Amino acid sequence: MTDIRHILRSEWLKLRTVRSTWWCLGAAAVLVPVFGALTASSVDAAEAAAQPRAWLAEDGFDPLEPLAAVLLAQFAFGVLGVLAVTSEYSTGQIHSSLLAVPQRRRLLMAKLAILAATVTAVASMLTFGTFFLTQSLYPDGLGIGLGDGGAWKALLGCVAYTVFIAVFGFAIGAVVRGTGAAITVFMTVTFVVMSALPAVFPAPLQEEAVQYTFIGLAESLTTLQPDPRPGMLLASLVLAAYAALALAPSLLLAERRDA
Amino acid sequence: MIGTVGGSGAPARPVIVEPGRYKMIEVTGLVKRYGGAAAVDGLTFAVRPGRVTGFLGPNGAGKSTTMRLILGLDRAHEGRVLIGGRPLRELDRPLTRVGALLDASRVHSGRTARNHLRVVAAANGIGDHRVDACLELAGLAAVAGRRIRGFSLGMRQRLGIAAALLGDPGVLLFDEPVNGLDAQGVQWVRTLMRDLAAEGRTVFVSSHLMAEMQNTADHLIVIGRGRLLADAPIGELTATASIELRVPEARTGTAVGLLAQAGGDVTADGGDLLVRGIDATRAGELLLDAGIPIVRLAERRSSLEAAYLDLTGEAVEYHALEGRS
Repeated sequence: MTDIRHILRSEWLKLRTVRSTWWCLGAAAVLVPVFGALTASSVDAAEAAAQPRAWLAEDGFDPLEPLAAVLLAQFAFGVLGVLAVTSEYSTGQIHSSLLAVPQRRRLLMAKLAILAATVTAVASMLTFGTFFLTQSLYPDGLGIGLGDGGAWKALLGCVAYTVFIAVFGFAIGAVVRGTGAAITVFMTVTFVVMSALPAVFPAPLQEEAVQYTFIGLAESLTTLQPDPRPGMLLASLVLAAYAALALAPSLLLAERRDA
Repeated sequence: MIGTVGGSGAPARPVIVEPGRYKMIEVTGLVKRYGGAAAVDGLTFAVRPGRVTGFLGPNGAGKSTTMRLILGLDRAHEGRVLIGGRPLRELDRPLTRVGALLDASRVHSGRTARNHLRVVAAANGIGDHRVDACLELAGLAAVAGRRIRGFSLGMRQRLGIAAALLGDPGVLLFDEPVNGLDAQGVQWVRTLMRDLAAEGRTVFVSSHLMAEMQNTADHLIVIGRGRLLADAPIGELTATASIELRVPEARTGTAVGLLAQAGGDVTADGGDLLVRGIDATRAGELLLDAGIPIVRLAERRSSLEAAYLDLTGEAVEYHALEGRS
């Protein structure tokens, strides 16, 4: 058995020695604070001050509005996840990797762990950094702290969703293997299938179905509303189930497919 | 002999020949089908340490597929491969046991040469010192910091060979290693193979060019259409094919009789005889004992090329016919 620490070290080197990683993370690192700051500075201070806060009333002022920028950057994290696998398969680099680590599931899981850790770190910095930046941009009295209205929970939810989307991209990449095809499938599922899916349900269920799409779950995880549906725990579990479902085929087929 | 499988050595250790360290590759009843057609069709052979074993066959004979199966990259439908008596996936830090160069273009070309090797080495706990030593050995030290994207095919081959040597393994597989190399590079690869084998390692190298093997290999495994055609020392495949004799025309009849009686297969054309199945010394003795003067006696050794064409001719023909239909 190959030492897991060696594999992790190799995977970490792999991720940071290709340019595409820096492109994806760089895109997110620019997009998130810039769009966050733009959103924050476009708030009408007088109107906002007159409203109750979002955790008190459903259509109240939401100081976390600028964090939508993190969700806007989800494609960058998704593509990073896709590329973490497909850059190996589409280039043929996987041959070298498998000669060193013939245990394919072990290799795949180590790769996933490094990706998830990296995205957790970067998404945390971006989410919390943007939070503090945007709250300081608001006029006096509008900005909130981490403890106000359970904001810290919404921030963690934002990080969790970002990690999910990267893992989902990874899972698609591991099944499809080709970069172009995998990115297409990822984008289609995330943005097209997920928007269209609720329509297949009978009318009374459609509204509920929307809450269980990726973006519906993201909403639940990142809102300041006191009682989101589904709740944070359920939303996290559903996302974890989506991720597990997407990862299953590549893990099950790992030993049977030709490299 | 003490096996070292399962042991853990220092990653950047110098090359030291230890008894039992170098392992045999054993392939048994290997079958791989693509669609309905068998690319590898029941191959059984062994590759032994201490010599260069050439793996020959026409294009499409199944050489690369066999190598991928040996390395566990593709899944065999039947059969098994053992390296030093164990399946590859059970080996501890496989790169320190088995090194391979397959398709040299199969690397992430956005990495630098050095980073490519570091990534591969790290997975088996091999340090950067060894990476630099291998870059040096492959003549790539000067371009170590450059992206592989700008490398010529020859440079990529050198990088692939450097990667194969990272773990200082006792078993080495090279798929068409001289592809794209210049004359100097070809010479380097040949010397390297000979040296690796001389150190007691198992060296298995494929080629579709017979002439290449003539200069490098000690032993040959020849396949065609996924089947084993020959597994023999190189000398055996180039053994004396026939002898040419000229005797006075009047004595032709007697000479043919004598040689045929001794087990030769004789074709006569006037006084010129072409004899198979008897070596030159024996034929000479027979004729001189009978008082038949020999005007000319010549051995015709078959070239490896001719032997190869003989062996694979049918396999290639069949292939070409099928390709046309």
